[in-house]
Amino acid sequence: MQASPIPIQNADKRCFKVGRGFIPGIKTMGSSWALAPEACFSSTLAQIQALFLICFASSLAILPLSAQAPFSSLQSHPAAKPAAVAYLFPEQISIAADKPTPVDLHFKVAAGLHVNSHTPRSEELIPTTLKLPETPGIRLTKTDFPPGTDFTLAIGSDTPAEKLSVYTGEFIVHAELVAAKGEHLVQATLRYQACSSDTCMPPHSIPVAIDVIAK
Amino acid sequence: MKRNVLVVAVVVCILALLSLAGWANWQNRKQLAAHQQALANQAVLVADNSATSASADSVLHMSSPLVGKPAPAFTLNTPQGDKLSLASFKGKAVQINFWATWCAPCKIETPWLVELEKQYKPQGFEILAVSVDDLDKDDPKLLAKDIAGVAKGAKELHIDYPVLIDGDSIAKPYGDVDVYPTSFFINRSGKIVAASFGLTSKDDLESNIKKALGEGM
Repeated sequence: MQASPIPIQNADKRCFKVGRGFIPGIKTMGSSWALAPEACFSSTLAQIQALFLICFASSLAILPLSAQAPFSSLQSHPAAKPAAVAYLFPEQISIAADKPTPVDLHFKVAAGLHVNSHTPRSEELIPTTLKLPETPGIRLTKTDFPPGTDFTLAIGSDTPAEKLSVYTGEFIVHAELVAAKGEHLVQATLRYQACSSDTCMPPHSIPVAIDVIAK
Repeated sequence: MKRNVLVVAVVVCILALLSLAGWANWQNRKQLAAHQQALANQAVLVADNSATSASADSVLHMSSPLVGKPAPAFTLNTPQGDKLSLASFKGKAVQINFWATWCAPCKIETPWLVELEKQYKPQGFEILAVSVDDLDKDDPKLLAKDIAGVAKGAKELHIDYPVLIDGDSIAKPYGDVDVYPTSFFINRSGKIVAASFGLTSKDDLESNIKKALGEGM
């Protein structure tokens, strides 16, 4: 750009040429200055072009402010706490169509925690269960849970010991599936209630998703 | 003409992009503020190697940001259907004890609470046993069964202080309580002076009760 503008007469308008460009709409009125966007432009197209340049310049200035994870609001909620039980495998199986087929479902309880077994010792305790909602073309015909291991919760000699039947570490549920020919997505749910040696968490459910290919 | 249309279209696109960026930025700031608020309300795990800990291993307790603040007000029902408000205990030291019938550590702690409540009641101390057992509110028959289960559980534990149901409905103002047993100790002025998360020792419970009564500070 040149250091100082060069005034240009343009019919009854006046623009100031700065290098190859124009300072839009600056015109003198005697000794005063005024902004007048229409001063330099004698056509609609030129006006739109100016508007485009203003918008483009504004977007370049504003977009970086929104650049901090601009679509984070479109993401799901903040990360949830890790579940006490995780489903490990299998994620995909091939079975014979229309024939009951055993499937071993592997789960893992987080270190330091235990979950009630499928048959807890007290009826108030929440058992671990596996359920599959009605799904066309596939049925869960059997679920055999392993026996729980004994866990005794006792504090001091003056408190009664609470004996529990629990799963810790890895455990396997022996299931049986019958599927019609084709591909099916099993979306079962494992419900459990976990505790540590001195706290309990509310009952929780995790998805158990298996891609079943029946041939 | 075509060029005019093209320019107008481009301008409109850019304006739309700007609007989307602005909206996304606003949403982002709103979520961030909510997340920061949630963090401020969360309890923080603090290792406790005190000799009075419940087990031989060090027990993890949590500090609560609610300590020092007025206890959030609430009104809940008893299993018999009577309404009970925290406000009705104004002027007394109160322990709000979140428990559940399926909570084994709660069953360990409750006999201690029953003893301590008897011991300190003459000095103006009360315990409110707030059950977080699930209630099938959509099915009246199942709801009645759930409530009866809570009443039965309380009876088996010989709880003779007020038992309240639907504790989940007040978990949020009390810092999203999600471990049990959890207790908040409130002094006579209605301020939370201590909190405990998980099974602790009888001595710890007694110490917190004394804080609520304004003793041993």
